[in-house]
Amino acid sequence: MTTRRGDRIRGRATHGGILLVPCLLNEAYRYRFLVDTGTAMTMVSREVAEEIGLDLKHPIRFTPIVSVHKVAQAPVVRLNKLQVGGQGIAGIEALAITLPSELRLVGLLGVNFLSQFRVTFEFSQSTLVLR
Amino acid sequence: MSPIAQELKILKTEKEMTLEELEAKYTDEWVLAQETDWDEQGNPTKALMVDHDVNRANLVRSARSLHLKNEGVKTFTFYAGQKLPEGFVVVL
Repeated sequence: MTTRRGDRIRGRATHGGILLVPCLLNEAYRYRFLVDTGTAMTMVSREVAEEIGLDLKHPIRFTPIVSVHKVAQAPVVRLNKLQVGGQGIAGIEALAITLPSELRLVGLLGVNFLSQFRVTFEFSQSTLVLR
Repeated sequence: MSPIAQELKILKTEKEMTLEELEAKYTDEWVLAQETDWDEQGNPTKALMVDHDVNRANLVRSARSLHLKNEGVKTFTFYAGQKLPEGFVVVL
């Protein structure tokens, strides 16, 4: 039996203990995303979408999103690649939304990425492990 | 100094810094940095400051310009300093 060691991604704890990890988009643009098992689809801010050249006027589709606060429509876009540590997924979909400036966040790493791995949180070391 | 840095005349006075140094120097600002050195896992360890601003939206143009004129460059854009004002609780 073999054991996969997995990728240990050192992040930083913030927002009361929530974990931020560096994510590389399209092999060129790196940002810290909040790891969020309560978000079904990875999200990027509109600034990030504009920065990496996504066409928000012609998204794949619009989809309704529902949070604890509101229901809204949001454009769905496709990232060429999303990489966290040594683990990457090509062609993953993401929502492009306006995040509150107070959050000082530009993205959320959602379940459509996390579910591709066996995920472990090591909160005491601010580390995300992807196997 | 990268070709884009020479062209944009942004980095002429900037030196390579660790991420910790960048965070300390530009506390409470958004920082756009060009990665220059990485650890064995591909995480950036050093970078050159390209632009910084308290308003995140003001970095979009610099980032677009840098990437358009210098294919293959990797950038790291991050908020330096406390991520959330005191007293806030995040419920997404």
